[in-house]
Amino acid sequence: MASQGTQADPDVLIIGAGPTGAVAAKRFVEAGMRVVVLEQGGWPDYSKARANHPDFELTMGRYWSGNPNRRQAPADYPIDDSDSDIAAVLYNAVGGGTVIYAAHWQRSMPSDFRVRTLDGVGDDWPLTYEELQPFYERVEAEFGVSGLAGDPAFPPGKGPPLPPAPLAPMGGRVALAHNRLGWHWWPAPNAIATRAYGPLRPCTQRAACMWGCVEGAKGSVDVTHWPQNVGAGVQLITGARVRRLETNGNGLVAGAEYVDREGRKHFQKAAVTVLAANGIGTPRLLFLSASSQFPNGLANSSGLVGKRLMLHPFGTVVGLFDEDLGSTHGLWGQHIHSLQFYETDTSRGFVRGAKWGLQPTGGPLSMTRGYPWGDNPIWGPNFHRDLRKRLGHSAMWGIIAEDLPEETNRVVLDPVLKDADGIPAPKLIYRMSENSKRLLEFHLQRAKESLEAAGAYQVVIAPLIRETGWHILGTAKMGTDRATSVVNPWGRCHDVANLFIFDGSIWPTSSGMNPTATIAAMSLRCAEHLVQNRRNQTSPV
Amino acid sequence: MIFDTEERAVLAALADVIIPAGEGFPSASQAGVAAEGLDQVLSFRPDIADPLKGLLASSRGRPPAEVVAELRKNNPAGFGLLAEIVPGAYFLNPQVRVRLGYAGQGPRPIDPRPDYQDDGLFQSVLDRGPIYRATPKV
Repeated sequence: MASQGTQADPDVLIIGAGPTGAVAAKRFVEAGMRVVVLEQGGWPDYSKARANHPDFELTMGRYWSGNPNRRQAPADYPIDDSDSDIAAVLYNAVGGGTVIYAAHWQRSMPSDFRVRTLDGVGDDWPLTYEELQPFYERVEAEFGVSGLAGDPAFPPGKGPPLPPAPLAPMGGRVALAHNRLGWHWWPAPNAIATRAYGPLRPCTQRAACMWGCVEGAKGSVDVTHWPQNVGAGVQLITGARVRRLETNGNGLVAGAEYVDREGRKHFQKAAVTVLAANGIGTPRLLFLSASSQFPNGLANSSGLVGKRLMLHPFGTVVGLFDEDLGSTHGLWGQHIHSLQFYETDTSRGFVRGAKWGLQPTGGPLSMTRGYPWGDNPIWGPNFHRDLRKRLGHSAMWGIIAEDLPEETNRVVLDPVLKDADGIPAPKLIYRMSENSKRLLEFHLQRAKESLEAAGAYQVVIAPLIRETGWHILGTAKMGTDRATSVVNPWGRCHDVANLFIFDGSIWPTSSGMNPTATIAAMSLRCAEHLVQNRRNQTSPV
Repeated sequence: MIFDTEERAVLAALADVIIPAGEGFPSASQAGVAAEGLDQVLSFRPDIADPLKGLLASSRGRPPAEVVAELRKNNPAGFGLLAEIVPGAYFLNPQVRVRLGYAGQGPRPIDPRPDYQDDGLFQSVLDRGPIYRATPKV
């Protein structure tokens, strides 16, 4: 029997303290609403951030690993990825994925919201770039984004609040080459502070952004949002793993049953519940909340919960240069980006495109690893020569490939696997489509040409690796038709009037961009709409 | 976990196949990879002690070059373990770091000068004009 929670009855209950929950909680509490947040993890432990110690490269992959199956922290749940071409990468803590993200801050382009109309595939979003633009501008101020207005890959508008990171020698070389080729590049947008900004300190270019920023320069929401949210009155309960949402006789969510780290059960009542648990956690919880009233999972009359999983296949191309580029250091992070081949050109044999971000390659141990270098024969007699050819002399394009939605790619509950609390674990069923494979191959070859044009005497196309599923999207589609979508254009579930989903689950298509900018902007837009319409909200109390 | 002299000798031999001396750099064993280097690595990564013990036991008495070649070919996990421990310990050696000119991931404050303006670099991008498809008019 679950005990009754002791928290005050909130106006809004948010599940998940990643970027989605952080932005929404901020807006709700600013509107005077009482907010409770349940987060299964704790606060990140930056004493384990080692960028200023000699063992950094040795230890970076343990505490800061993005793969929960490898990390196996108490807050993690296992994910069966045996039927998936790509393994999921996420972080269960206050801050969520932003704790380990590279902070590439990419808005989507206008065509990303009109994929069906323009390219005849996927679906259109029920909103336009122009409708989301003011929300992008607001969240960029919240996250301390650096970059430069005027990028010709986007409509005109206000830029981020901080100046861009330097191109650095690597970016300068590639920029010059792209100018010769007539290809797009631009100083890259990052959620990384280039100057002191609110709680953020200036970046010192340790190339450690994904493994614990020791400077506190990265715009991760455990720094930019949660301390302030808690200070403003949000009740953030950590170590709280939600096991199901309870519904009442009216088909509304009454609250959430959760388990604390001591295994005790609690029940948190809520007038309104917002899911912000990412593209795996959200469908998992909807499935776990099945009842006689909702036999196929909560909010799942469309049958689309868990389906249309998109994971952004990821490619990497590295160039070796004679000159010292100083590329042990920099932003990790990106110094320049290119959207030259982002828009569809059907003569290429596929639709849609990818974004490229240019970044450093890191310290000496990173020069020896299979990723990104592949099975290159650095070992043995040529070790010292090859090491010095790579260290500080290499630059890397990271390529985010758009994935199209397919109902066969999905999240389900695993019939056997359970987490430490005995709750069924999620299972991924995902295969890279032919379109995604062709798209990625095309972009890898163009990126090779880019680095060769910049003067690279050797270019290595990295092997595709499985642990690149950072961007988990599409598993609770947004739309206006309840038969073909799970939530409406403001994240409200068609089937359950007081249940909302604000996270990346609701994306109809994935874009080819790092998604946090759009996840944050969408969360703010959905939260704003909820605030403005709360007097009309149906609730169980 | 304690590694005895024999285990360290096996590791030293394997490590020197992976990182021999050359170009003014010491070999792995000369840099103490199988001595204090291993101890340092294990203090940071105790999780790899057990699998390393197993790997060294199965390598004992065999020609080290043959062991390394076989691991590379048939045992990626085993080779991956060596390929993490050996260079990991090697790059902890202060003399190696000095010789490499690598002082770690220390701070390099951002120069506030906007280098994207150098030589008309970004003006060239602007001159090429917009590259996005606008939202279609309904």
